[in-house]
Amino acid sequence: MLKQQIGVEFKQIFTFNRVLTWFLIITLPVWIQYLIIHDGYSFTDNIDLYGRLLNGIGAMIFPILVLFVFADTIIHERNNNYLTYTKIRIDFNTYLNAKIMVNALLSFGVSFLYAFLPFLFAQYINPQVTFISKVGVSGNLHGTVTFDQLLVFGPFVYGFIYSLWVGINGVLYATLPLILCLILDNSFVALSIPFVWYQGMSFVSAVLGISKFAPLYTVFPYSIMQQKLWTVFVPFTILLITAIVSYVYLKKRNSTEWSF
Amino acid sequence: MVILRSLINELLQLRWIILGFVIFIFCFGIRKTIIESNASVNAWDLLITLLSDVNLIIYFVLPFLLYFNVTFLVKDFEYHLLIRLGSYKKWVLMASKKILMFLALTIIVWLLVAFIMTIGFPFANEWSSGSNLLEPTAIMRQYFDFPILALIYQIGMFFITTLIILASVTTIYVFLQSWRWISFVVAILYIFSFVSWKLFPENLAKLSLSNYVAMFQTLNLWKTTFTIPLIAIFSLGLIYLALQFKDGKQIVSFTAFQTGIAVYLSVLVLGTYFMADSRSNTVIDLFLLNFFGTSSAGYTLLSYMYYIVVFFGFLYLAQVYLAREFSELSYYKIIRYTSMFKWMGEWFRNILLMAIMYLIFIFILTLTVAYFKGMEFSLRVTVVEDMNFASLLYHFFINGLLQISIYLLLLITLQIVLKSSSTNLVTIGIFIALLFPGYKYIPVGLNGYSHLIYGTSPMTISLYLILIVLVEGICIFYLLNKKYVFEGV
Repeated sequence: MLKQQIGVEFKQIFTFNRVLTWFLIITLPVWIQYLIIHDGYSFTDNIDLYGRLLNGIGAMIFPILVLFVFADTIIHERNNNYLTYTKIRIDFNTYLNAKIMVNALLSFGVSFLYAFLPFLFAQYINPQVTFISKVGVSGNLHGTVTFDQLLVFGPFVYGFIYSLWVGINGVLYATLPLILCLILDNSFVALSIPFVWYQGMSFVSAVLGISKFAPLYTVFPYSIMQQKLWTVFVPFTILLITAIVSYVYLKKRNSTEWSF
Repeated sequence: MVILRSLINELLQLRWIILGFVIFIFCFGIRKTIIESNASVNAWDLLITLLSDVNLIIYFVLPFLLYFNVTFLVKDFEYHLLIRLGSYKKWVLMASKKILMFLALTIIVWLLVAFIMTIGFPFANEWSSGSNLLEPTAIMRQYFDFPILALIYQIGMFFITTLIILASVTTIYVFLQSWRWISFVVAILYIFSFVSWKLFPENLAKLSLSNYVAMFQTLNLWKTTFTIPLIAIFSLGLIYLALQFKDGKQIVSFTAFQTGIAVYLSVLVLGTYFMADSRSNTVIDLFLLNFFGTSSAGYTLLSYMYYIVVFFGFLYLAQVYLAREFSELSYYKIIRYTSMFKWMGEWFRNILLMAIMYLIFIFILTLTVAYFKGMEFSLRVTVVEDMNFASLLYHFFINGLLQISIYLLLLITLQIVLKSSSTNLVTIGIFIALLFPGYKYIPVGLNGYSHLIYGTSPMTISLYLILIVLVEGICIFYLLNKKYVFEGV
């Protein structure tokens, strides 16, 4: 039943517009960043170039980007009373779980590629083809940002694990609005809560002087000094707990009353 | 006349006669001591001394008030009355009104007796030379220019203190609902009042009740005239919360939107407070650094984030309001207005008013933070070489308002065209992205001070912003004229 439903969801989501959206999410922010930095900037090494490519407007609006991978479809289903009629045809828990799984898979894929493709470009393609030439000239010091501790295992492991981390965060930032959208009345507020958290907490922790716990810097740590690796799990855990609690609440509420 | 007659009738009752008699005897003693000391005091000194005598208050006035309070609490607390009033809170309110009358009569009797005592003393509207010899007036004259103000202050504050004590007893009675227990509580209170006065050591003086009924003691203790009002506000709040709890109501009830606004404002206050660092020496420095914003020439990440929180936070709340306005839109609603423009004018005016008030709010907030951080209130600038104060204000208010209206108009345009609230989140995201330094001639973040610092004239910015507002206005005019709002709904 769940497998079948997941298949249905996948079939529905693979439209031309969707795939185009995914493509734009993966490429557009990095491309804009590339246009800004491709001349006039110089870099220490490939990893420094990678950081510069990833940090920028994409990092600022990351929760909005992953929202449009899959989660925004729930609004249309909710607004047009589609969900109310779905409940009499299928077990709602199965439906919800299928949605969450597909959302998690797709948003993981997109955010992983969002982080991994620039890495491949910076580490392997650019040295061969030389789009950006001033690499290894000057600039920042080696190993100055948080995930650089992983560089001892070689650049590929670093890129892969860091991209996994961005992917997992993408899953969280995409799953939370999906669940909240079924809990809260106002869909705009529900969709925007993760983004407001991302921006608001980054600001609050910055002014309080604890920016090592800012949600922005734990996903894209290119604007602060190198921190211990465990710090990145603090906002992540808070968000994870929020997501789990709201999921349990939704399940509990749906077992007693069936209304949206 | 009726009021006067009923007042006289009331005062002829036994309890007031007893009260008057006791106060009379007591005051006579004090008068005699003052006359025997041969000090050159006037009538005001005597009045203030008589009305703020701790002996009289603790040993006689306070027990008198407590006794009558308890008698009518026990008498009036009946279920018929409670049912008619509907809640405990209203009952306490009603009881407080009675207490108020009772207290007013007590003070009237007291004042009458005290005025009788002043026969033979000279009246003059200034402090007498002998007032330094009496302890109450010696302290009072440091805080008040005229003795009549001191007298009014003493009476008013005594009124508030006793009212709070009696209202607290009433509230406790609502919880206990037994005359035995309330007598016990009142007895404890009474014992506490004179134990705290006679036996408490110096370091516990702030807990002593006697220091709050005579104002010269309170002034001596706290060195400010605002002590009693602050305590009053705090205790009334506690009484209110306790009664809400007793009535089984939610202690505070906000809508989600109001909670959001409250959270946002607290983040703003917190942020503004901690943003103000040692780099800024004067108020103008603080404004320049806080509202630096971004420009292609330079930025700091903190100012970028502060701009996002201040302006896009407001935009976000406005969008929540807008989404509701648009979701309620229907043909039935629109036929009540003669045109689409009247419909839009109705709420757009509100939002613009809110924007103006918001700008004034953050202006005052920044000034307050500057005050608390001990910054210098002058027109001096230390972070940059030269800055014209008038253009600074102009840039903050006029360009700020124009910039906010550009954001709002763009949001409205997209709301009309795309009809989905989730796309407006994208719009805010795009604003944030465009605010990132590195782009030129984009009407986002032009009200940051960085543009002024890097040499753009505020008038040029205004002209450019007005141009954009006009273009967006024409777009909205066209869309509303075509009634595009209803297509595809």
